[in-house]
Amino acid sequence: MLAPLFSREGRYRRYAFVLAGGLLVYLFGGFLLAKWLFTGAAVYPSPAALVGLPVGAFLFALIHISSMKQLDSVRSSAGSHKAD
Amino acid sequence: MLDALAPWYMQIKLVHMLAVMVWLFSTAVGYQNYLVPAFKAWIAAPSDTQTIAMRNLAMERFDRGVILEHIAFPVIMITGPILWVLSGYGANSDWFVLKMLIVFGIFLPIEIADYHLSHFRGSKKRHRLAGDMDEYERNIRLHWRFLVTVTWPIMFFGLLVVGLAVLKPQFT
Repeated sequence: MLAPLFSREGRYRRYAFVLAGGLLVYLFGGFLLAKWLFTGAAVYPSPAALVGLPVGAFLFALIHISSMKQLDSVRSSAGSHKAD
Repeated sequence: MLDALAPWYMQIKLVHMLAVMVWLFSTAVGYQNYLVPAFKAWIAAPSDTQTIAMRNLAMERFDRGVILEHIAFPVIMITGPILWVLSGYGANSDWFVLKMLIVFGIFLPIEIADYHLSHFRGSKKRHRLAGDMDEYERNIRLHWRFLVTVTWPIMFFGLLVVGLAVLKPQFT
């Protein structure tokens, strides 16, 4: 049941970009919706936010890909016992 | 009830902050220096009995190690709403809205999966004691995929939430 939610070895790129896109839509959309629902005031995103947030999501996905690749690689990390 | 708790606001906040620290950092050393190297050794030599034994031991110890984290999380989820009600922060505070979206939409589902994998049907020790080694192996691999997947999101959003709570930025 949980397995389809997690990344599969070697399939990092698509997973990370889909996840980052989903999180961006959820957080950005959720923020605007919550502000509208609970304060009654419609919040309009600034041009800087419209550019900065997708760039931030893209960087988030790149670091996520790097993290997953690093964890799945056989190269040992600091403190590894593998080389012992 | 709220009147009785109000004088204890700072103490409740202290407990909340300590629980956040335990939740965020209590498994870091074990994860980085024991679990990850054990899994890397296994990935390099997947049929080596010694690396499999080391991986299994590290995973079972990690399941025990996260108990502290999984005590801290309910403490956060109890003290957080108390602070919320006492402080009066609401949808006018942008940082608070974003923090709630992260806590309930990102951390809560991750923690439910983590509880399941560490202590309930995904508990490795439980399958080993039952003699079901196929299920044991399946859950070891599933738990590793979970950890590979959530390591960066937990680091990023964990630090972001602490930043939001301390700096209290307003975006609009």
